[in-house]
Amino acid sequence: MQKTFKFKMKKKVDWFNILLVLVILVALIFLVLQNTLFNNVFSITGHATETSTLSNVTIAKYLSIALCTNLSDGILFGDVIELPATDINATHNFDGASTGSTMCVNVSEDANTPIDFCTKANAHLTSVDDDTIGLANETYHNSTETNAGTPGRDTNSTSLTTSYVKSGYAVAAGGLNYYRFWLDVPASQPSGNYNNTVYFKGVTTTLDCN
Amino acid sequence: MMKKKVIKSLKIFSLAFALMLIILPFVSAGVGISWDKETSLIPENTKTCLTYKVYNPWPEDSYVQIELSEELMQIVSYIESEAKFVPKQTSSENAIPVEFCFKTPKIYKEDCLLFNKIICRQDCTEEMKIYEGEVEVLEVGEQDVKGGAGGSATAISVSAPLRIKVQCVAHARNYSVVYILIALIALVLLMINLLKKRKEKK
Repeated sequence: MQKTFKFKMKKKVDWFNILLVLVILVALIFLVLQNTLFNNVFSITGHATETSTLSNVTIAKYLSIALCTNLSDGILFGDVIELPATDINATHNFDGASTGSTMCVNVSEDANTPIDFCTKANAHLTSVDDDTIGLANETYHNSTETNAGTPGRDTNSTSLTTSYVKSGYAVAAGGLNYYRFWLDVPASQPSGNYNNTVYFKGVTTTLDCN
Repeated sequence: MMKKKVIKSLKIFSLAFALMLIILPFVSAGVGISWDKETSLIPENTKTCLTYKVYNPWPEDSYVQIELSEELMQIVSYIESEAKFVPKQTSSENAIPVEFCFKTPKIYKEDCLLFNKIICRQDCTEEMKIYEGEVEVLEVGEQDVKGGAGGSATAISVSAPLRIKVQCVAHARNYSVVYILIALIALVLLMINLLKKRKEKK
């Protein structure tokens, strides 16, 4: 009777299957640990207590600009009758008070940061027939004040380019940046109506024009 | 009598002209930008959205469009492409939010044991990748030269800086796949064994 019982016990216990079940269990335990405990293994643990309070500051910046009406209407050079023509004045170069310029960019008083201005043109002055007046012929100068001589056609006046160039530094909120523009037209220039677009961009003084 | 009438008319005309100068805006439509974040630290392979604000404290309504510089456009996933209406006299306090979203790419190389994809470790030894550029708000009104004469049309914009820092997330080697594989193999062997046993019993 005892012999038969022992034989039955031997038959029932399958050590290989038990090993497989153990392997599955251990693998699952490691899987759970890998994605919980092991991930935080380098975190500091202990019994120290601490309290904290939040320290917070938000630095907000805002700036706004608008073109004076005469500049928003465009930079006009009128009809050119004789060629070559040099230093043709834009129509609003001298029509302000004290013969100052009326082409300007306004910085809003609702701004909290000084502004640098960047200027560029999209292309050469171009006619519908694709004749062009090179951008090197369209020059400008700028100043935060204006009178008969300022902004002046002097060595500081520069040609427009297709990349932004700074044309006014740290203009404060409520301030103005005045512009004057001049055009040279070579003798061989074909007649026609020439146009392009000039861009004015306001940036914080820490930013390049790009 | 006639002289008095002429003087009176001249006075009225002068007054009307002065009134016109006062009423008519001295400035065109303008643009404004407001922001309180110039740098954003975003983990790699993550989508995140940022908000800048536009305003227009000037006396004319304006339409504006948001553009991001070239480097930021590499990782942008959403940006409003339509022109946004900004009513006149919108102060910086009442600025209108404009949202755009980025999806940072997977940049930093992991140290993997299998097929460059499995059982990986990230030590974050590489230099942090930074996308640097600007958010530009352009006024998109008419850009024609008035009167059809030759010359240059004009346009304005304002811009604010923005830096997207792509954060590397360090992690130890992950053996999850190995554990799953071992458990699966053991499970299959166990099933085969049990099926064999059942067949033997029959």
